[in-house]
Amino acid sequence: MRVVRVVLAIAIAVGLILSGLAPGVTNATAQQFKKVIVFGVNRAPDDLDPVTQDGNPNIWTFMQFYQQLVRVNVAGDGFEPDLAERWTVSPDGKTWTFFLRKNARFSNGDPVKASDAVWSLKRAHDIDGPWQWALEAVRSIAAKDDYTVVITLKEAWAPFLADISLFSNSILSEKVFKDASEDTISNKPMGSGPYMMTEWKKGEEVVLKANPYYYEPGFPKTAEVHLKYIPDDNSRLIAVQSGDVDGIDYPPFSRVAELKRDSRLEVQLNPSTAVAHLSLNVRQAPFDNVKFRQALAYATDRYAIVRAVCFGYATAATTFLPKTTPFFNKESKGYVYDVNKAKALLKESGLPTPVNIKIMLRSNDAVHQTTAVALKAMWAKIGVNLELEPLERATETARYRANQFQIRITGWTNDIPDPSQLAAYELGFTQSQSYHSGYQSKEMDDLIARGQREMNLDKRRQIYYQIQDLALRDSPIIWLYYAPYTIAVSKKMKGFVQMATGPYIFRNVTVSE
Amino acid sequence: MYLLNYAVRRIGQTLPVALLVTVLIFLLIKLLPGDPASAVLGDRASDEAIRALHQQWGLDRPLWQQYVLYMRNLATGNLGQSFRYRSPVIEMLPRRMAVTISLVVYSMLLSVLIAVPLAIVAARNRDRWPDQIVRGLITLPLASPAFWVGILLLIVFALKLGWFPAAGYGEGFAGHLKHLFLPALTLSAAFTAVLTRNLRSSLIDVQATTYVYFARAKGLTRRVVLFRHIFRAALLPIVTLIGVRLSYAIGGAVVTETVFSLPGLGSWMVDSISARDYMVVQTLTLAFALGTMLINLATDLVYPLLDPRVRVG
Repeated sequence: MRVVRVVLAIAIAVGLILSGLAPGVTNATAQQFKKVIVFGVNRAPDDLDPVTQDGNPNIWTFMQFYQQLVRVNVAGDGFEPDLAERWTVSPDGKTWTFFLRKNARFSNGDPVKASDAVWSLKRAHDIDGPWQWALEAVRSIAAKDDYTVVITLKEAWAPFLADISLFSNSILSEKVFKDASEDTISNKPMGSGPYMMTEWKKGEEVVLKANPYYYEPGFPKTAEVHLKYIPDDNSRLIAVQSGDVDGIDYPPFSRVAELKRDSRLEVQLNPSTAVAHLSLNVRQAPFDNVKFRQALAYATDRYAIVRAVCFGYATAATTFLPKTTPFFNKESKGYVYDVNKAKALLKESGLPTPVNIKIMLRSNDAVHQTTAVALKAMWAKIGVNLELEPLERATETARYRANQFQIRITGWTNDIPDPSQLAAYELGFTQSQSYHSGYQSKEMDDLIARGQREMNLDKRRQIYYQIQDLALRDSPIIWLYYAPYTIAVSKKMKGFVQMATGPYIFRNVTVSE
Repeated sequence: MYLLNYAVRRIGQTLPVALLVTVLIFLLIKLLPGDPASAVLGDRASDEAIRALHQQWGLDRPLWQQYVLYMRNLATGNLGQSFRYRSPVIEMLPRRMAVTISLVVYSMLLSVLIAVPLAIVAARNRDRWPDQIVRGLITLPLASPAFWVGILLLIVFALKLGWFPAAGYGEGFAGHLKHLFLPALTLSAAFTAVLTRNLRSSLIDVQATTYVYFARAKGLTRRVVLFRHIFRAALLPIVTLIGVRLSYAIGGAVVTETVFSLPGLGSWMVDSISARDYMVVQTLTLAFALGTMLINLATDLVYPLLDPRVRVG
């Protein structure tokens, strides 16, 4: 029995001893602030080429080390200097001149010159990527001298400053990347931002260290940031609650109330440009019938969906534009839930009831499932029988790309503080067949084109108001809600900011011991 | 010498099976709808960009040509490129493999460390209260799914007590030991129960044999009889169990690695299937198949070492 006792004691001791071993990267130092911020993220980056990537994990990571000529201010309603300390535009609106700051350097110590900007912007212009539209108005890009970039446009282009601030127009070092392969640009990025990537354990962690040549003196305030991939919601929450990490993204709405009660944590519900919506395939019956689409829009109780899916932390959508985007029409009521009106419209549509339709959703996505179940119950009230078709992510994407769906649950995050991108992508046929809904309207296309070219602010506002009204009338898409970004950080963390377009800003962040 | 011949012959037999596995997995993943290029380029990619990537990766060629190319590369040790991460699979494999192997071995050690004393206590007190307690207790982990056990352990030991980290693999040997403790305990929970029950029955059976009575009659102490006579004989079925279980543990690692955010082969496999990262899925499936075959072989080879009456071949 003595042996048994010894073995038992060893088993217990192993656990106890180990718990005292091996300090992690968050280990305290003798200083007032931590030298390393550890931030838990729900998705891992996989490719860090700013021109070819459209996934948020990639964008939010490379925005820590890439800079553009101008940047969006934190409120998301204007622009401020970044690599360009000032800029001018010719009276005809066609020639933009950017004057680069002379103290900006890449993290290898090389100065950021106009030739780097020209090479980077030409690359973004020429590559067939998801962001090529952002430079579609550009005729030429040239360096006037080492610190002056001149961009000539084909015509006056209202959202040009917003377009040039887009992450795909990041400035890379020509010397380092001119002859580099795509794999090198993706795997070994190097920019001039506050941080530089020093290690990338793929699918595990990104290690960022302060760029010693960053132009803003005294920034970043913390020397090192680790973006740690913790995909499981429960584990990510426990990691921040136990102090294992200093902050996390995307705590689920269902846990926000619980986190708010935790005195050690601060929960942020950051205004975002995210809009959740349903794409209807208007190429096929019964979705080619506008009365039917309107009936569905009226039969959708957005407040109930907000309560069921977002636990009340989102706002019902009233137009296709996010609330944070300029020219959002505050007066628009959108579709207010009205079963009787929906029934009347369904009758007007001439479709025999019950109408049998299918909704495509991602099988392991709780938001999709709850939304689809709620819609089934709501639409049953007007005589629409909704069948749920859960599919694995890659299969669902393939079906969507091939336009093989009736209704798809999806959404959008606007990337610039201007409505032109979203209007063109979601309602214009050329770019994406109106988000694959197949919607095509000359009236809409004309308005979109005018919105891109109108330089008078008030007239431009009116155009986007018209676009919002027309989108509601034609309803190729049913807009559901505006959800905030959820973040939970330790109360010891100060200065954390998340842009409405998504990226985190760690430049000002400190975490006290 | 016969043992060596046997091992060589068995390894030779595994090769056709491994080949079959490569054909099966190659075909199965291509049968799945979905496409790596759209997974890499995202929803907003143009059809032209997707076609260009297919061409670059050779996905526009006939299936048999793709398979021949894959096998030719495999023969030269080239495991291909991860589409998703734009890196050679061989570069990413060692670290991931180290995580999963450490996790599985660690969980086995913990299982043995916990199950052996419990089984001995239960067997020596058959049908008395210590036995009842052990048998009652071990039904709990047996009836609990791994993800739930994992979350419970996280809440108690990471959140409430703060003894262990909640996620990740850590740095350095001590860091790995500490980070892997809760995941290993989770993975070991169900197996510890199975092992305890089986070892207990096995010990009870051997205890009742005549040679054990004889050993006791000879005047040997209880401890000597237990470890020299009973325990060694009772281990044989347990080795089979460990062999089978090791193969299962590789599968079980998928859930555990996800709950504890461990960058191992299991979580990599799940991510790669979603991204249709063909080369990674093919390599990992092959690695899992070969691993299972090697474990079975090792189990067979251990038998004669434990019991000289057993001869392999």
